[in-house]
Amino acid sequence: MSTYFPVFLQLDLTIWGILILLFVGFTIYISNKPANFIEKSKAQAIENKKRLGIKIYRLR
Amino acid sequence: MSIQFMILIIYFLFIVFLGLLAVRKVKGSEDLLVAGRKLGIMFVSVSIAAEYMGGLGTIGTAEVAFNQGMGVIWYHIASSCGLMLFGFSFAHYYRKYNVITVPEYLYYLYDIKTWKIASVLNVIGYWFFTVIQMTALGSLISSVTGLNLQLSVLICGLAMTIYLLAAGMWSVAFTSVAFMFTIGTGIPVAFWWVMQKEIPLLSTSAGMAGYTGLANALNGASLDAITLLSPFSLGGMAVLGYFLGGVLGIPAAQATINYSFGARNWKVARLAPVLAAILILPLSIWTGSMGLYARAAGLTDNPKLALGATLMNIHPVIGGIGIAGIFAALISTVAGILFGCASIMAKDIWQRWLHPDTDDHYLSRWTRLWILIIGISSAFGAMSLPKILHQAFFVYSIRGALMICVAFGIWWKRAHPDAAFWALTVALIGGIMYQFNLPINFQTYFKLHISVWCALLSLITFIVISMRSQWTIQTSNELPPFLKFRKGRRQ
Repeated sequence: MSTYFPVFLQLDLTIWGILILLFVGFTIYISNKPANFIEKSKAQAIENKKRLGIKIYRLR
Repeated sequence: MSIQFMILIIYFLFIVFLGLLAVRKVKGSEDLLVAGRKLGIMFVSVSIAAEYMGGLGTIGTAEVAFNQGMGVIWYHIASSCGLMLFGFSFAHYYRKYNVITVPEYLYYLYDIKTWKIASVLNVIGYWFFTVIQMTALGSLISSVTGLNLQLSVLICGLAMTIYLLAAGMWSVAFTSVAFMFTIGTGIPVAFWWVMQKEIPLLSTSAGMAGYTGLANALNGASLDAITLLSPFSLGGMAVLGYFLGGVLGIPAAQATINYSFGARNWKVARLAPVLAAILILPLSIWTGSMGLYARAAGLTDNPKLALGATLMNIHPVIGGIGIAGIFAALISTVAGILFGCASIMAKDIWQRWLHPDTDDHYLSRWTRLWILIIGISSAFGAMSLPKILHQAFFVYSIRGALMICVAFGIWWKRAHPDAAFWALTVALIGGIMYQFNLPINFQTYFKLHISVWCALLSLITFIVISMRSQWTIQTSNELPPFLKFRKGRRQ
């Protein structure tokens, strides 16, 4: 006697597995970034704004 | 007094106690609003997931499954995608500028008028949404306890206001862990009980447990089990609607993402939403299956009561734990929305806009006062006006327009402040016209959901105005009041 395993459950569990893999991959990616990465990218954003002639707001 | 009722009362008192426990963590307004930006990955991800699992994700998914089958799993798949998108592509932008609210970020991207209209729209939308969610919470309580609907709404609203007053985001983070534990054990335990113990008892299931028995029982009730248990039972348009809702709704939804603003650092802020996406995904399997069980067993004719009827008809302790799980899902959403609304009201509208000279000490007081005002007014609103306020639900669909402004502001260098301002305004006007059928019935004419309609309008407006406008130094040369005040203060 075989147990019925519906298609929606297979699909949901597959997607769950993919999400978990993405999370693991993203964790590895994030942890390899330097801690000051965000400040560097903020400095870059301000440079870009200067180049485009966009007003730069004073940030706190 | 039923066992379910007793379990719920004990749980309710425990939650209020837990919220009050966080009070010693609060020393300034930043502690209240963003938990001092000290939240670790567990607190952030669990708070986001618990906030996102609300009435729509539990009672709503059971209702859809009751009517149309297990295609409802796409609701949480789409929501997970929205949360992932936020973690992958948006969270670090918000975190970079250390924002507290979404309108504040629009200010950094655009200008003052965009920030002001976004603040006002957010406050109005979330205020109405608090009322509607409080009504949903009250109806769950009254259906379990037999208390008067209005009284249950009032009790829940007041209890929530009290624990938010105590410690703001810390309270929410503390209680979210308990909520998540309750949702993550109560609902699956009830699901397991239904699948293993209740289904074999149905005469139509041929004594089989699990989905085999459920399929038998559905067939026995003259329903098409193959269709109802198919992941594609809802059709393409409904799934597309879920995806649009998840993707447009999450990256600019203050109540969901503000926990990410309280994260310890940018790495936590990005990772936590992705973890939250994993946490919410299985919910619709559990609630949807219980909804289908209610249909197969003929427990109720009203789809809205599918989940409640299932939980009230199984073993009282297991059912009580399950109801506590649903209760946790609802209460965490109300707390999140109420808190998000009060944050924008206190920080953006009250302090930065109207009273830029408010110092930190007074800001804490004002934030608490606004939590109190919004909490109590929503509780009373939910007691008296829910039918009228359902009309105002559309304001909430403005968040699609907000998301468009945020996304274009980040990635499109031609994005213009005037475009953002008018995109939000047009979405609001278009939403009102849609909701009140002015001058035609848009729903029958265009066959679009209101949130898609608002998002489409604001997208077109945004692109057209941006293409026709140029950034100049004068575009936004007004120095905003809150920065004048902050000049020379600590970083």
